[in-house]
Amino acid sequence: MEEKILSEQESLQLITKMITQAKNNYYESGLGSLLWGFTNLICFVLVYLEETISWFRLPFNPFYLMLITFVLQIYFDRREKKYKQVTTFKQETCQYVWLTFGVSVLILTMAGGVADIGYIVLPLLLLLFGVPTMITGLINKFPPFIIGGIFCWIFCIIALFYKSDFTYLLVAAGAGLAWIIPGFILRARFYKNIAKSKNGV
Amino acid sequence: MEFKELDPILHSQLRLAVMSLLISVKEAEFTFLKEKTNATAGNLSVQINKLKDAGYIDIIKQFNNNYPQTICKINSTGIAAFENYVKALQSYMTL
Repeated sequence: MEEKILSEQESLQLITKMITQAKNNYYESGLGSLLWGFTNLICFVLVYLEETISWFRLPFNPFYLMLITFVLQIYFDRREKKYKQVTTFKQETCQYVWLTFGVSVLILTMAGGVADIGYIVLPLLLLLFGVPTMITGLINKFPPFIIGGIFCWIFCIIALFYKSDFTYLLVAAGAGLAWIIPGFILRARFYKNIAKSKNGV
Repeated sequence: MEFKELDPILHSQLRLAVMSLLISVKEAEFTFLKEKTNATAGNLSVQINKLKDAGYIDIIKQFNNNYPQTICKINSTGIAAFENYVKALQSYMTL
């Protein structure tokens, strides 16, 4: 592109072209989605096994695994920041949505312990899982997240009727459908984009 | 009908391309602007500095893992100038 004076028509065409190019720049490695999806799946399956098999006892609370995932998430975020050339308004919005989701989950789990409302925490957790997943899917027009969010809400309704240990498996399945499957799809797309840019396509 | 004058800072191909990219994102690295505009680093650098001198964009120079990084961000003056430019263009197009 050179230093050239444009006609009015050319100016409008250039503005449209550049805005479209900037909008289509969706950078998402899928790593965070996979990380939290697998952590939730493993945690809730382990809790289910502890609750249903009498001899199965872990020397630690399975939810402590979340702390390791949190540290890993910070590490991967810092590493990925190096490769991010641009921050879009969509990405910023999604970051805020996930941040508020994290705080909400923390408050809900604390409330579950303090107010002794444990039976309702798991369905509410599924309800919360669905919100940021659905918003991210809708904002980025990414159907796997939209479908994942819908499944979380369906599982939430089912969980309201099953006040049993089976609910742990529903939460694990919700995490798997909402984050693991979309995470793998995003990861595949991410590697495809890297290969494309390396080949100069 | 009155014609609005087109802002000479924006009425140039590369500067307009940079402003159009920056208005669509929160912030962008120099490498992103270079890739999207297909401009040379030297030319892009000159044009970006002109936009900065006009007060339309803010430039943040920093180091990321020992590599120099230039981040560009459109500011409120730049947004207003861009909006006025588009309005002026529209007034010409509706002739």
